[in-house]
Amino acid sequence: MFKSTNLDLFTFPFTNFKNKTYRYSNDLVALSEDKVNFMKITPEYKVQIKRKREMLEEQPEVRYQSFPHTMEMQWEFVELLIDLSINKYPEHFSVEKDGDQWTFTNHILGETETFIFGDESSLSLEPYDMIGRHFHNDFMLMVNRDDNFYLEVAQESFAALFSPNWNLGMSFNEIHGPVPFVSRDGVELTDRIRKFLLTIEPGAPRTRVNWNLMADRWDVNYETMDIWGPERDKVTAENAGKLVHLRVEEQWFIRMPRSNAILFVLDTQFLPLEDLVLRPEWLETTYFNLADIPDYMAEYKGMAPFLPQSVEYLENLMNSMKVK
Amino acid sequence: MRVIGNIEMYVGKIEQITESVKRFYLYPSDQKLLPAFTGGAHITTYVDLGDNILEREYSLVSHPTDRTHYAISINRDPHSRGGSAYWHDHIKVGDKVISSFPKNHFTLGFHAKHHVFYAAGIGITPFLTMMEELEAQGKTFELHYAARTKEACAYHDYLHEKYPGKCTFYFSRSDEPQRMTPETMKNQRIGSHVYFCGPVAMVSEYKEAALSYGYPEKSIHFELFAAASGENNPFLVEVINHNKVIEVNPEQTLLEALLDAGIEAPYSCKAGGCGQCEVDVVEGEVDHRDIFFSDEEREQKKMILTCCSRAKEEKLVLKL
Ligand code: HEM
Ligand code: FES
Repeated sequence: MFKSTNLDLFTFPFTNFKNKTYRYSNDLVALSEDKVNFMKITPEYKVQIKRKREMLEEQPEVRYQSFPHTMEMQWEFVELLIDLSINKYPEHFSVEKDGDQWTFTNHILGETETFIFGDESSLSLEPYDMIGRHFHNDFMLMVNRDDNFYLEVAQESFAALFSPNWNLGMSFNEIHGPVPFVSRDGVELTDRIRKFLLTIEPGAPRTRVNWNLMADRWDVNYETMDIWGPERDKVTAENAGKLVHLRVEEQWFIRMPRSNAILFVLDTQFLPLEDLVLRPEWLETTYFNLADIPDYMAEYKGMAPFLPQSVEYLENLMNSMKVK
Repeated sequence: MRVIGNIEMYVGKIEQITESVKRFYLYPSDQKLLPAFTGGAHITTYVDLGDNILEREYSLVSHPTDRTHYAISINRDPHSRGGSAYWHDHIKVGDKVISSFPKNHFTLGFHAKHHVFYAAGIGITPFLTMMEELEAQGKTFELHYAARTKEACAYHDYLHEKYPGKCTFYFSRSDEPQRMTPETMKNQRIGSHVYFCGPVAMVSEYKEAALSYGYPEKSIHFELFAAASGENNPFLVEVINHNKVIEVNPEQTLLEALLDAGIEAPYSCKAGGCGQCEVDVVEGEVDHRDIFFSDEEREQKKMILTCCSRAKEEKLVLKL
């Protein structure tokens, strides 16, 4: 388990929910030029990469899936990741291109990847899988066919309730089937957001933040629910500060010009509730939001068994800070 | 690889294709590779005219994976509102043009068993790249292409040579005039997808015909730029609970005008997709341009999404 230690790099999920509490909405916003590069090397980088690769080794089928016709799309993805990483962190990543002969170097890990761009046979892994293992994000490629998006390549280690194995080939609407996706005013959102995604053009990426609470475990997908399901009952108002983590998924949506797909990038971050004392304004906003989560949302997010204890913990924490 | 914003280009070469069609070759000023694209894609071009910007959308006609340059083909429309006439009469080699990333609202049907294209005049342009893709993938297609004469038929020789047996040309002003008709769609096998590009009247005629022959909606494709943009009319808004009357000029959205006037109007996506900027309408007809609400919802409740929709007439009365 890793937690964010540099809070300046932590994406606090309730920034826009100070006056009004959190509800589902189409909260996709435009990205400014300085925010579009999702590369982020935090103090946790090495731990995350190690864990990500372990998961990919342990359960290769669960963690990585692709359709055979996606090779050209995969190379477009490789080029994007290499260019973004070098652009943001030239001290950590570099590439040499000699025609189609590319050598990518990850200086943090001291690793090089040499391959012929566009030729899968020059790699032992698929191109998407290979390059994805250098970055701690989860990556899904949702390909636009007719008027929907279908999951055709996915490498996932940290996202909640997601499994490439289970979700491969599903449409945007099918994937969101389990979500009680209605707005505060009762508007059904899934299909509207599908339509909105169709308007995301190359050159104009968007972002949003998803959040959840996790009890003592961060790897939660449907395949392992029998293990993490019962663990949620261990939480009390006393131990919630350590056991319960705010789980944040910062998300990017980038339309890939050649694939005509939306690349969905996730950066999953964790913060134990007790660390909220480091930012008192976050503590208060989190309390305010969690105290107002409707039952249907708590049930869906899987936090219903420990939400009351967590809220009580935060309330006690706030009171103790006021006393001091 | 580029990911955001527009791309500064310069005109590297201009070719006369027919008497009224020119092909413009655009190169990136920074010499970096351009995004590749998919068959049927277009770009938005922006030309600085000094007092305003000429913004137009053109299909790309260069090869989808040639990333050194883009090419567009423009027909000089005799009724031009300024766009094609300006490009033809004023743009010269070396001029700067801003281009968007390639966008595609006219993609090939993934499930099609066979692709049938119908082009009228300059409507040929998106099909050039679509056919290029299909040829590379080894898929089957055919083109029906109408023009006044062989000389006025852009890319006639190129198409004729490159895709032998796949193209049928119809010249309405030749010695033996031929007319392209929707009837040929009747002979296609099940699973075929049809594509139309040309003047509005032609596209609607073919669309209606295809539906009447029993083509499923998903098998019918036609070029449709920017879903619901219309002319940006100026209008007035009265905000009753703020006692204010505000002018919305053609360059602004209603949302921008409200914010400029110091009214804390809500918003999020600013693109007609999230519904956050909804405001109640007390009086006046709304020209809805969002994709958030359905027609039913619009009838049930009088509201407007201020980031994109406008007044149908001169005035709206709102309550916020
Ligand atoms: C296009 C790529 C996307 C993919 C691959 C994706 C995938 C997923 C998956 C796998 C889940 C979990 C579903 C489950 O419970 O089984 C989920 C949940 C959810 N998604 Fe998406 N999603 C995408 C885009 C979006 C967008 C654009 C939005 C909103 C604007 C959105 C909003 C949500 C919400 C609100 C949930 C419920 C999460 C929670 O409350 O914890 N998703 N998504
Ligand atoms: S701000 Fe999203 S619809 Fe207007």
